[in-house]
Amino acid sequence: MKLEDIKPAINHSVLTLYRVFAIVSLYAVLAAVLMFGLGSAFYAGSKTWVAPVILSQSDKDTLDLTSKTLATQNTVDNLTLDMGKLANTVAEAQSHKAKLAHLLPSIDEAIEQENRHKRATGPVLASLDNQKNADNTRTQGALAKLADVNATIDQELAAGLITKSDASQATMTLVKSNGDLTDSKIATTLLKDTVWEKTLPSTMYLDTLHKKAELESEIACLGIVIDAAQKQIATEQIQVAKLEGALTLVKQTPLWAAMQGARTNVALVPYENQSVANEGEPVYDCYLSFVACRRVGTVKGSFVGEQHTTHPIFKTDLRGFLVELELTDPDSAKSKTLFVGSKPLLF
Amino acid sequence: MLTFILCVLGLRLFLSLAKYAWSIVMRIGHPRLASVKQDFSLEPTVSILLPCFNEGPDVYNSIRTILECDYPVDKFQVIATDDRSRDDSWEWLQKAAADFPGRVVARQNAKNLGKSRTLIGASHASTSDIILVIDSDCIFAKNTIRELVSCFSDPKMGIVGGTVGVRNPNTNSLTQVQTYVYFLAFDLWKTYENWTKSVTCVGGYLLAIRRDLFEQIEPKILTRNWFGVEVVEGEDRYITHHALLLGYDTYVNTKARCWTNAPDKYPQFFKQQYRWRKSGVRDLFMTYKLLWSHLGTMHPNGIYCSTVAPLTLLTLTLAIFFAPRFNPLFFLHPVTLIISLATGAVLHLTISKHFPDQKIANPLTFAFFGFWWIINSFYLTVLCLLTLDFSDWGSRTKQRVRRLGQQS
Repeated sequence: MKLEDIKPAINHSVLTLYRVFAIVSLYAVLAAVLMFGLGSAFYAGSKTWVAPVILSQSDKDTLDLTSKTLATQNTVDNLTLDMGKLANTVAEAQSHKAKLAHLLPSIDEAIEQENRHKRATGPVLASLDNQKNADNTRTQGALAKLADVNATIDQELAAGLITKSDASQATMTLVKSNGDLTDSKIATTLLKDTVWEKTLPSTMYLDTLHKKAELESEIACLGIVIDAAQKQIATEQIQVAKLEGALTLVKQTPLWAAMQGARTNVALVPYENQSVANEGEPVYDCYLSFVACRRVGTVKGSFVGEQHTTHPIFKTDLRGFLVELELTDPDSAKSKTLFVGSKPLLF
Repeated sequence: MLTFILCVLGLRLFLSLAKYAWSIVMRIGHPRLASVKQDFSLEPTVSILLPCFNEGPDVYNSIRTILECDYPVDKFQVIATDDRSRDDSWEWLQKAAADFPGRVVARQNAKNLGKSRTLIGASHASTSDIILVIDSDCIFAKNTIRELVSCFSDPKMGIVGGTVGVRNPNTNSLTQVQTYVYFLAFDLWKTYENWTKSVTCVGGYLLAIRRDLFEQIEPKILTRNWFGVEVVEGEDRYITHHALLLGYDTYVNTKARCWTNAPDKYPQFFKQQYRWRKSGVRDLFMTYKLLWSHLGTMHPNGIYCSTVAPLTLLTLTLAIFFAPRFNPLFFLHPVTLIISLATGAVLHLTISKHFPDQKIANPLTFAFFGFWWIINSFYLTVLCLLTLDFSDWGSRTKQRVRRLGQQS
């Protein structure tokens, strides 16, 4: 049998197969285009659809949130610890400052008492000093006159006018008088020192003032330290409050729920469909996009915060918020869309 | 998948833009690169074959304008054949034969045969050196025949064509869009292929071919089939392709011009585009079937134009067809829109300046061209791929009821 003989039969077979394929394909294309058109029109007008999302601990977003939450909690803990340290520092500084502040009046009082005493004794001593000086002058004048008496004693002893015993006694009296004068001069000099101390500021007094200034400076420094620490505590308290607020918000998100459990069924509700997404509303899943639907659960609650996803039909950016779903059929979470409130086409 | 589609689309866009850019460079800066030596002293005999199906009075106008051409009257005649039209075309042909005795031969097929067989039948009724195939709804410039014939001075030149403009550019948005399309497809694109004298499709609206070459290809035309189903459309592309395979040059002389009525109704337009696209798809299959025959015979540029460019389109079409997750609205990407609008602006300015008769009143219709390009390039190709077992006269199959003497 030649090829030419069987060619018509081959052609006929190929043609038949081609026509079957072509008819099926053309109707498939037509159906796809119609479905796309109907789907586009439906989803443009429908106000009950939501886009399900399955969240689990191993999701990228969940892992990312886990990492960020841990970092935030760590920051809060560090700040709390730091605030405790700062509070201790403030308490210690305040105690120290109070003690130092308590010393200041005592110092002032001591200085005042000392000054008062000086003011009382200083002039008296000065007067006594003057009187002593005058006494010394007079004593010295009297002793100068006794120098002639000393020469006379020797002459009278040599002349035998007086005894040796009398001469010795007279000489001793004279020496003693000179010694008394010297003692009086020493006492006068010491008295001058005392008067000077009582009437002029002493180095001890200045040293006391210096110590007082140092004390005041230390008190001021402690005040600054206390103030700075208190401000830092206040700032950290605000920061902690904010972070804890953020953590509180995070704990209200579905991702947190996913972090805590194995799997969370949620759905993104577009803002234009938000009126239907109330707690307890029934949820429907459809076998064929939006026809042949059955009830598969209810809306459990809603989460705060805006979420973005891709529109399941138009592939554009979709904005909305998430609701948690309680699904009797977990596989429904894998559907492209679900419907809330009622079946989209009543069947 | 999306990345693959975008890559192929990008490649196709790049190739198209590069081709048009090179065409513009040649047209403006180096016209010699895209032209052939012409000998206006050549005056071979010419048979003008005019196959006709449901054209009505337009066929008479076509005959009248081609007869008014500046060419010795004893050197050319019109052989007009009616393929059993359902309207009054046959009456108009008879009227033309009566009005131009000895210059017009009016024939009618015994039954509807399709365009290819009608042409071959008409060629048998002629004895001229050159066969000139024209469309029955075109009107022609006076220099058309001379411009075409003058290009045959080189014996290697097998087929010479002309360009076609739109007679009704501003009838509605559809004809406005087609004005752009005609300029791109039948003028600028041909310039690129003229560069290597390997035009892959000389349009059947104005196709001059050597008789001996036509006779060589004739048996192939008669046996054209798709798994036993006769193929009757796209004979112009088929003839051109085989001329190239036989080692001849093909060329489009942009100074030889004719004008046609572009479809102004969507069903007509769809059928026309569908017919053209299907002929391109058939040609692509034939190219790959006979790929080895092309090597060494056809110029590499011709091979490139016949293989790579349509293949990117086909690949892209199939990729989209088999990509269930693909978003069909991706064409609305800003980059695509910007390229489309920029191309449209350049095109509008070029047409307005160089072809004032084709000037478009509302250049914003180019946006519609972008939309149609998507439909035509991708979805229409799928339809063609799935209907290769079917062929007919395309946009002219609708029955007309006008009769000779009635008001249109």
